[in-house]
Amino acid sequence: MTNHTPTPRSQDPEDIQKRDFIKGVTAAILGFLSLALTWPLVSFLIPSSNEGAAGKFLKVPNFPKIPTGTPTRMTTAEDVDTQAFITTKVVYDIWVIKHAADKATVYSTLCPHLNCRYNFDSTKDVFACPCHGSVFNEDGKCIAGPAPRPLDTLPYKIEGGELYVQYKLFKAGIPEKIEA
Amino acid sequence: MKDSQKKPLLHVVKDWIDERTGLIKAGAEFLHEEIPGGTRFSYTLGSACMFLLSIQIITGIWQLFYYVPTVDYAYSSLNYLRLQVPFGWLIHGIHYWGGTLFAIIVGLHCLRVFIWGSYKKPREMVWLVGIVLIVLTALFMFTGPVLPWDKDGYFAGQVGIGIAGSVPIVGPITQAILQGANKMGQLALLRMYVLHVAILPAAIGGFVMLHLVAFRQYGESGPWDEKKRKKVGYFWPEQIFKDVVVTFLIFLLLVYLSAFFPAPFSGLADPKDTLVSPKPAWTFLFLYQILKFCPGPLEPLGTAGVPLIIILLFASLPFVDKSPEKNPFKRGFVVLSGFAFVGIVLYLTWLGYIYRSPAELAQMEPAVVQNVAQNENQKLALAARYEALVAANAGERKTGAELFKTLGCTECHTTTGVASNKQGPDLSSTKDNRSRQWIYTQLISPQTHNPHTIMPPFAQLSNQNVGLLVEYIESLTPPKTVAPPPPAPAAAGAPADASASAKYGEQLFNTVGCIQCHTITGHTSTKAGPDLIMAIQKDKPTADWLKTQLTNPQAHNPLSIMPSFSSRLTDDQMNAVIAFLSSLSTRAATPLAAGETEAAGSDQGSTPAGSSGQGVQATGIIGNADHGAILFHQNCIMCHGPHGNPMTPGFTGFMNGAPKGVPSLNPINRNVFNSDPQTFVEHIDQFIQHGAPALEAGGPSMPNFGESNTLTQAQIADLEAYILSVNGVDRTQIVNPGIEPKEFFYMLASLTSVIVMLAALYWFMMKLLKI
Repeated sequence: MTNHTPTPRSQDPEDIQKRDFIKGVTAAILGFLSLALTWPLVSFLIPSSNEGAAGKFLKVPNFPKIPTGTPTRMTTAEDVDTQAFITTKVVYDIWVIKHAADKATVYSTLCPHLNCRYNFDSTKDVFACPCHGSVFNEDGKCIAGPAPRPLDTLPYKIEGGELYVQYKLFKAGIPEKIEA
Repeated sequence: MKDSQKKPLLHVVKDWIDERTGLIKAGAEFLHEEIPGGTRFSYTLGSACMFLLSIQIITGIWQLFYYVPTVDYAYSSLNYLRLQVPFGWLIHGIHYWGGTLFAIIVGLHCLRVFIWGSYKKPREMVWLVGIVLIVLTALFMFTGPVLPWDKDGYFAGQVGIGIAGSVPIVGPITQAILQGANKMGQLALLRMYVLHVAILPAAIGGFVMLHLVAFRQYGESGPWDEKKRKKVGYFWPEQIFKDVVVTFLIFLLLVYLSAFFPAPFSGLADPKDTLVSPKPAWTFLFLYQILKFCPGPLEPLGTAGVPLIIILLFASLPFVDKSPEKNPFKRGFVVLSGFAFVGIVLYLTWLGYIYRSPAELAQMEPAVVQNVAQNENQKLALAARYEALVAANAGERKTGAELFKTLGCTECHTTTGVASNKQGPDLSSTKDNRSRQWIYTQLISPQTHNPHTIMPPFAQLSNQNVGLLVEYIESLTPPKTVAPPPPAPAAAGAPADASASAKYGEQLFNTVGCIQCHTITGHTSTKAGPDLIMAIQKDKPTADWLKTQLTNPQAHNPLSIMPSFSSRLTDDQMNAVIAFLSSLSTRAATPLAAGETEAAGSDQGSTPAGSSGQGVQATGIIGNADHGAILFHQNCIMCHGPHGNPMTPGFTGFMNGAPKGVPSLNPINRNVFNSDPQTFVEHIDQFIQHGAPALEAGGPSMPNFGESNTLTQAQIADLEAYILSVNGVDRTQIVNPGIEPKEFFYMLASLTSVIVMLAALYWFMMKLLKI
């Protein structure tokens, strides 16, 4: 953008060699600088492994009162979710089928296809997902639609007549039930 | 394009893009700039500014991944980022020191341009845009330090916004826009934040482009000596090489400063804090100092006039100094005036840097603190404040009795007219016949009357509340019918009436210190010990178990903090307390008052009844140990002794002789100590928040500094940091550094030397062996 005609650069082989050397060192320093910056910048964003770790068994209030045999959507007692410096209170919803006072099946409310929340269709006694049409029977087996695996059961225990559930998330869209 | 098939793929792609955008050609043209007089290291300052600006943008954006711009979380979020996120120390450190370095290098860059006369025709626009960039930089330096919402930043921001408000005519509206509310708070923080991360970056980006485009119109002005200008240098690769070397050295310097001189943790901003003497960022110290020369009506001259004059002076320079002469030795007057300006600014900055306010000097000399409290002037000021207060409180509804209970006064004082074994005297006694004014002073500054008193100052209370308390205490008179002392049970055996014994036990329970840690409500509480209705109905302990718990609590739990009561309860009293506790197995829980909620178990266990208004609790705040040392001197030293050691030779405490049974904080009990700062803080926090009973009969009990709002959570965090520091634990210890700061620097430095050595080796081989 200068106003006069550019002075041609020296084509002496020694000058060219010197220029190439300078170019090489400049590139090396810039490369090293970029690496020295990129490494911390990327590490900074990788979450530590215990961030949002799996929780404890949470009481599900009102378990003794629900009818036997009918899937019931229930809410767990309050849990705390600590992320970084902020702790928030959370509750989780679950599907519970009570078989007896000490026996139940607990499903995650998320469809294993793509994590939509499915509903219970009491006219047909099936769970039906509104998003992509997956249908499951009360045993959790997929009887129609794209879901790759049965409904995800959650670990539970019944102590003194009360239901306790350990809430977990699973990876969606794959045939295996793997914790997310 | 005929032979494009023969070209390597990379060239084909390059040509394809260039044909459509012209970018490659523009880039080549940009790189092939000629530099009259050859390349120089002194020309690298502009590139260094560019590098620092880029790195400020990157590290700034990265911090946004964790930073939360609310008054509750700003400080905690930044502390989390610095201590718990891998390389958070580095990202924040580079941003902190990068800002400082940016200001320095912009200054040097400006000075270089000034000496070389490069602002002269035809480069006036470059100079003018440069001045805009300097003003933008100043705004960055003003808004940035407010964002951590720590003590330094909060007060600097408050004063800065106040200064903007004092400017004639436009001041009030500027202040309203900057502050968003009638005082510094959430809205001001958000405005500083939006300015710092959105508006100013956009503005500086635009003006930097303008600066560069205008610069490239005529390029580097080169040496003033015509003979030296004949030699021609090139931007690429020669000047860029020099730029990159300097840039890299700056980067190393930033890592070095971040690793060895991390930004201070000045503690959470606390509007009630009176110990902080606000000072602006160092870049504004010269203006701060000038302000001191502009008292009273001249103030607007200092706040608005001087900065405006400086900006106008700079802007008019190319139009006043019009001669084409660039040689600084032939522009004596201009260059000398410039140096004089720099000299004055540096001198004023130095004066501002070393300036200490009288309050700060007082803190540095602990003995002075007490003298200040006893100062006659201060007493007069307190008296004046009291008179105003009485006037203000006339006709107020009296709730002094409620305040007396809720603030924790009952922990140390009784009002029954009966001498008790509590720390403080019974307040219904009219023996001393204290005046209202005396009571007032005693409440807000007890050390005024007795420098060794254990009573904490209640200076944090509102004027109105202090007034109500004064009226309440003044109104106390001994009850006409003094309750007879509880009947000493017959030595022969337990009293026949078990319920009478339990009643006596309840009286004892309320007076010997049990209520400092335990509640009897049937609901989880925030105190250190369990609620005893809940505990006793759950575990159904036997009388023997209770007796062991009272005489030797560590027999049940070696880590228990409960003191033994064997030395301060007689056997009969002990039995009465046990009878009372046993009677709790049938007592119903007291109903919760409206609006009261059950404390949610151990997760929120440390939430005091009335917090300081900041949503964050002391244990979640990284305190400032230096500040804590001052607070310790003011609130704790009378019992815990100098530096937390009550065994310090010569220390006599607030009574004659060393205070009885006061635990040493230096060194602290090994069960309380923990090398992990967070665990350590959680161990000591409950004592400071909720207090604790005396460990020995006749010894002092620990007041509930947090619960009573005697200290704010920010202050408690500072005290905790101090107590950790005297035990050799650093509150600001990095939990998750990624790589230890110093190691990271050494690693970078050694890799750099390897690269330098390889380059040198290659150079010598090329030169000497002609390979």
